[in-house]
Amino acid sequence: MENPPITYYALDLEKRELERTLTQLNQSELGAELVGKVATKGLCATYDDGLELIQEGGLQGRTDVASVSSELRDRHQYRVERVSTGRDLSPSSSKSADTEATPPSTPGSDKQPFHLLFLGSSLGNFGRGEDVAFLRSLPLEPGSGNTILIGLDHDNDAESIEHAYDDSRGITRDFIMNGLKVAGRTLGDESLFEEDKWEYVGKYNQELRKTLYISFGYRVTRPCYRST
Amino acid sequence: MSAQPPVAVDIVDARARRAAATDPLRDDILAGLTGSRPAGERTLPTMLLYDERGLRLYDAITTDAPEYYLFAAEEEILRRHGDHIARYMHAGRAAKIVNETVVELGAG
Repeated sequence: MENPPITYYALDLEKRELERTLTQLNQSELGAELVGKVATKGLCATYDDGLELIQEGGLQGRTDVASVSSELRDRHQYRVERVSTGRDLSPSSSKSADTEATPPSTPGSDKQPFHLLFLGSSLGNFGRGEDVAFLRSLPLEPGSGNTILIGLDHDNDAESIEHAYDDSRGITRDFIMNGLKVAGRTLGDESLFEEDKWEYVGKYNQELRKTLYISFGYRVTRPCYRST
Repeated sequence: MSAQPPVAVDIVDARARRAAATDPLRDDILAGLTGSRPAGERTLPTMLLYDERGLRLYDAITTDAPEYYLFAAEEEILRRHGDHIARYMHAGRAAKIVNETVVELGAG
């Protein structure tokens, strides 16, 4: 069976979210329309690792297992997992959580173009200077046929922007405060930052307006001292 | 009785390749909180917002927070100009499309 002409990879570090959203996509009407045209897969990696993998031709439409040379295995070990979800897994269903090692590329194959999508103003998540450095690092040489689509918010009035990042239902507040939990967890104690001692402040920075800068801040609501 | 057939998704897991001796995220957190920055200017890395729970909350923002105009605006742009964008991606290439890759960074 011929591979679809285009393979779409959703790149993210959160594997369970990739499984959830890709499954949702495949089960949707759109998913049915994509069959034969666009294969959809997940790529669980950092931006840098994912891009390196792409550049090496590691994602050249491979879905099958092939022999792995030991040299390649040492340098570029990765797995393709087929994850099956669904309520009706029969015992005879062929693949469920198989892991297969696949080599980066077919020797001698041409590098096919790849297209990057960087949507949702995610470029804004980089710090100043880091955003430029990141874009510069992308392999977008003329003649390569490679492209990037960047979704970036343009300048709007401060009030709209601040409301955008501080909705009346408090979902954004929960989203930002969750960051403190993650910080604590990363440092070994999820409750390191006691939630009732911090509040979320979203302010549009007028001085840095040129770079459309919005800062999410945590402000201590009452001082706390922690003995170590 | 299930209304849906079993669905399989392929995930390329490239995380295993790095045996990290240090956790860069941990380093970033500590650097932002304890470095030479003055009080009132401490920082935390943005990555903290995008764990599994964070991604689901962000999902909820895009669907349940109308103030978050960015999502609807982008969706409209892609709907209206998607064809044009796709054609532009292949501009100048007369050959039939075969084996091309699209990667969405930070798809969530």
